[in-house]
Order: sequence, then structure tokens, then C-alpha cells
Amino acid sequence: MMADTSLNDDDADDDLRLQAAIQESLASASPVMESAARFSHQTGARSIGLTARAISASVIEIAMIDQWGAHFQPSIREFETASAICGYVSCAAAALISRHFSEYEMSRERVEQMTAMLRQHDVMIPAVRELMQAILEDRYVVVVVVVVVWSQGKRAEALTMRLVDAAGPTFKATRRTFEAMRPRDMCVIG
Amino acid sequence: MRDWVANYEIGDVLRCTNDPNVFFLRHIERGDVKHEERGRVAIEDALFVDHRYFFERCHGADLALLHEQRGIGRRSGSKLAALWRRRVATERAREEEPAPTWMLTCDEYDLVMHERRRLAPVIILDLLGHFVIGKPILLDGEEPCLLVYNSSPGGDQGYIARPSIDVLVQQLYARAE
Repeated sequence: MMADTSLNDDDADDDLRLQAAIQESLASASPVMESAARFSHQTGARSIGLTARAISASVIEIAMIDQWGAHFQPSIREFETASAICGYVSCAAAALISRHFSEYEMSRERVEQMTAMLRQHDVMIPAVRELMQAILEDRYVVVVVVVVVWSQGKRAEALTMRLVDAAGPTFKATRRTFEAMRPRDMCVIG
Repeated sequence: MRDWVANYEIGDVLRCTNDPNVFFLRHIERGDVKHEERGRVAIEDALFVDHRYFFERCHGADLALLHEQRGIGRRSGSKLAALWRRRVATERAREEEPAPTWMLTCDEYDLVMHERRRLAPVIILDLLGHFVIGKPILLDGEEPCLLVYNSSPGGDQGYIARPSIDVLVQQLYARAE
């Protein structure tokens, strides 16, 4: 019970910090929806699963935090990522949107708030760094496992996989990666 | 170690979360993958051999619904059950296991979202070379829109013209019209 209460307090603190960050960002920002690129989107009549017809819809492209900005460079160096970090930024942003802006009906003001959140360095950079660390650790585990197995054989494989299984959820995803690899791939990486 | 985030790594991240509302629309890259991706991608994409796209999400979401829909013999009238039976039959012929429940065909996605229609999904989009986010909304109570959040704003319409956007628009709005 104590742990649950503590987690809830942490969530509440996070929400307060987020609200403050959004308000701060909105105070200095110009309205997004007025300037966003808007496209009337017409799909081709193609077959996707059971559906097959042309559809019209508005697609509005909005810039979020700039993945190429200097604000990400220290994290890129620290976690040894590629210079293009759209995968990390998109995953982090998707989780934040889902948590704080899950509704379907939205006013323009809510869209402005959501955009402010996704441009706020204090919100986005920690979330992106968390993912960078998780994926880097995952890749290290893959390399370590592959090298050990390549050099030591099946007995080491069993031991190493027990260690991976005992680790956290991100590491467990490693097992699928590892199991899908073939000896030729392992040699290349190792 | 310094490579881009791979498709399957995004799938792994989602699978380890508890958020059933975040999806990844994955574009299957057949024949254009690196050596370290090849084994993994081959296994996962083989489950969707007749498709160019599939959805990924967190592990465990809508398990009961998907198990029921994928079950053979129950609710035999549903389109999804029919689809799933076809897929299972094809997979059995290949001696492969069915796709895990965190991987959905486009029609299974339709079904899941129909059951969860009070929530708007957030969808990570694979544009082949770039990832963006799609957030469908009803703007000011009257205009259905797909917001596309882009972390690499370039000013041209290149990303918006990518086929994944087309597919998502079709997926989101075909049933609504």
C-alpha cells in the first residue's frame, strides 16, 4: 500500500510540473493551429484488409520539439545514439499524449496545450533520455549475449539467458531479439 | 550500437508498457533490412505475409476480446473470426505459430478500436526513414482531423505524402463514413 501511495504522489507531482511547464510554454508561444500546415487528404480507393474506398480527411501537420536541436546533443553523445532520433522522440511523445491528452473531442485550446507539452524541453528531454537509456541497455545485452554464445557455446547461452530473464522488462524483450538471430548474424555482430 | 531505432525496437518498447491506447503502425520492410534485423523481422513479418502494414501495441491489452475473436468455432459469424481462421489455417500450413496478441492486422485494429471507441488512439507512424505521431481528433466538436506531430519539420509536404499517412487515414475514417 505504501508503494502505491508513493507512486500516486509521484504521478501527482509529475502532473503539476507538467501543467506548470505547459502554462510557461503557452505564455511565450504563438498559436499553433493558425499556422499549422493543413492538407485536405484524399486517399486512393485501395484495399486495406476489409476496406476499399476513397476517403477525404483533414491532416494537420504540427511541429513538435526539434529532434535536430542543440538541446538533444548531450543526450545523443551520452547514449551513443544515431544523430536521427525520431524513433525515441516519437515513442516518448506518444506516451505523453496518451497519458495527458487521451480524449477524442478537442478544442483548439487543448490542441495548443498538447503542442506546448510536446515542445517543452523540460518535459520531452527526460522522456526521450529514458528511452535512449533503455534501448542502449537492450543493445548492450544483445551484444554481450551474442559474444558470449559465439565464444562459449550452448552452456553459456543457457546461463546468459537465465540472467536476461531475471532482468527487467526491457531486457526480456531482448530474448526475442536473441532467439530470432541466427549464428551467421551473431558472428557478424560479435 | 549507434544505429537508428529499429521497427522491432519500437514494438518492444510498446510491448513493455501498460498503455493500451498507444499503437505503432508498422510498415513491413521486406528485402531491405540489415543483418542484425533480418532474423527478427523475418519471423514477425512472416505472420503478416499478405499485408504491408500491421499494428503493434502493449502486451496483454484486450486479451479476452482477441482470444475470443481468434478462437475457432466461437462467434463464427464475425468477419474477424473468419479472417483469423484463414490466417490460422495459412499459418498451420506453414507450421508457424499464430501472431501474438500484441500484433494486430488492420482489421483486428478496427475491431479493438470499435470496442474502445471512447478513447482516441495515439499512433506512431513508420514513414520508412522517419517516425511521426498521428493523433485523430474531433476538432471543436465538428471537424474530424488527423494531427500529425513531426519532430523534423522541413517545410515541404514530403512526409505527409508518404503512404503510411494514407493508410492511417483510410484506417481511421473508412468505417466512420
